[in-house]
Amino acid sequence: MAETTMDAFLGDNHDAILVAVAERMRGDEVMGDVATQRDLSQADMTSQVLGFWLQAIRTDLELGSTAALAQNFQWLARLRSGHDLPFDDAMVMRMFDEISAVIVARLDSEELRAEYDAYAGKVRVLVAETFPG
Amino acid sequence: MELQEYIDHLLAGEDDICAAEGKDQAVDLQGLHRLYVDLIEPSQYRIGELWEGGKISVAGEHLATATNSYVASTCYAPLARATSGGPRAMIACTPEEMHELGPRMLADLLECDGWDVDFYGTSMPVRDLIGAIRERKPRFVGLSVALVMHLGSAKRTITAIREALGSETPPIVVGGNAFRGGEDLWRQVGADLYAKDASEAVQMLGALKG
Repeated sequence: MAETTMDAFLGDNHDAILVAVAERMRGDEVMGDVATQRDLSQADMTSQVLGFWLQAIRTDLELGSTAALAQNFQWLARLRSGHDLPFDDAMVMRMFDEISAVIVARLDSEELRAEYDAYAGKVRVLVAETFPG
Repeated sequence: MELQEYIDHLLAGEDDICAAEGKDQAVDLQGLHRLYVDLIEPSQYRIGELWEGGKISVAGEHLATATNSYVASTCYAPLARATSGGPRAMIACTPEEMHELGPRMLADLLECDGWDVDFYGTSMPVRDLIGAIRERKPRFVGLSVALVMHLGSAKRTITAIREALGSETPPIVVGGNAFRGGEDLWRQVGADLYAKDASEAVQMLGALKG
C-alpha cells in the first residue's frame, strides 16, 4: 500500500475536516459578527473561510512552503481593512488552532504529525507577524 | 491614455471609450501586445486591489473585468489569423481556477502568432484535459493559475498528466499571478516552462512551433 502523504490525507479528509472544524467554531461570536456583516449565515461564512484555508494548507504542504497561507493572510488583512470586517487578530490564530487540532487528531502516523507540527510552527510565526494582536 | 484614466472608464462602464482606446493602440500585433500587457493586465490587478480595499463593489469588479474582456476580444479580432492546420496549442485554467482573462489573452496572442489554439477556459477537469491532450496532440499545454492556494491543484494536474501520458507528455508551460509569489514556484508545481506575461509566453513558445 502506498504511504499516505500529508497532502493526500488532506485531500481525502477535506470534507470531514471542514465539518469538524465548523462544528468546533459553531458558537464563535466573532465569526458570527463577520457573517452578519456579510449577510451570510454563520455556517455558510465558516464553511467559505475554512474552504479557502484548507485549500491553502494543502497547497503549502504539497509545495513544502507557507506561500499559500501567507498570501491568504495578506489578503485577509487587506480585506479586513477595506471592508471593515469585524474580526480581531486573535480570531486568526484561534481559527488556525482549531483547524490544526482537528487535523492532528485525525493523523495516525507520527511522521505526519511531525510534518504537520513543523508546518504549523511556521504558520504561527506568520500569523503573529501579520496579526500581532 | 494613462492607466488610471483607463481604469476610471472601466469603472464607469464606458466600454465604448475603453474599446476605442484599445483599437487606437492595437493597430498592429505589437500594439495588441502592448494593450494586453501594459493596459489590460495592470488594470485588472488594480481593479482587484480596489475591491480588496473596499473602494469598489463586486459589481464594479465584474463590470470592469467584463469590459476588459470585451476590449480584448474587439481588438484581437481584426488581427486574428486563419490558423487551421497550424501548430496546436492548448490553454486552460487548472481545476478550481476561475480567472480566465489572462489565459484568454495568451490564447489571443498565440492565435495572432499562427498557433491553432484550443482554449478551455476556467476550471478544466484533469481527466478531460488528459483526454483532450491525447486526442488533440498539442505542441504544448499552458496552464494558468491566479491564486497561490490553487498551486497545489496545478501540481496535481501536472503530475496526473505526466503519469497518464508518460513520454508523450507535451511541454507544460505555466503562468498567472500565483507564480509571482516566488521565483521557483513554477518548478515546484512540476512545469517545464514559465512566462511572466502573455507577451513573453508567445516569444518563448515560438521555439516549439517547429
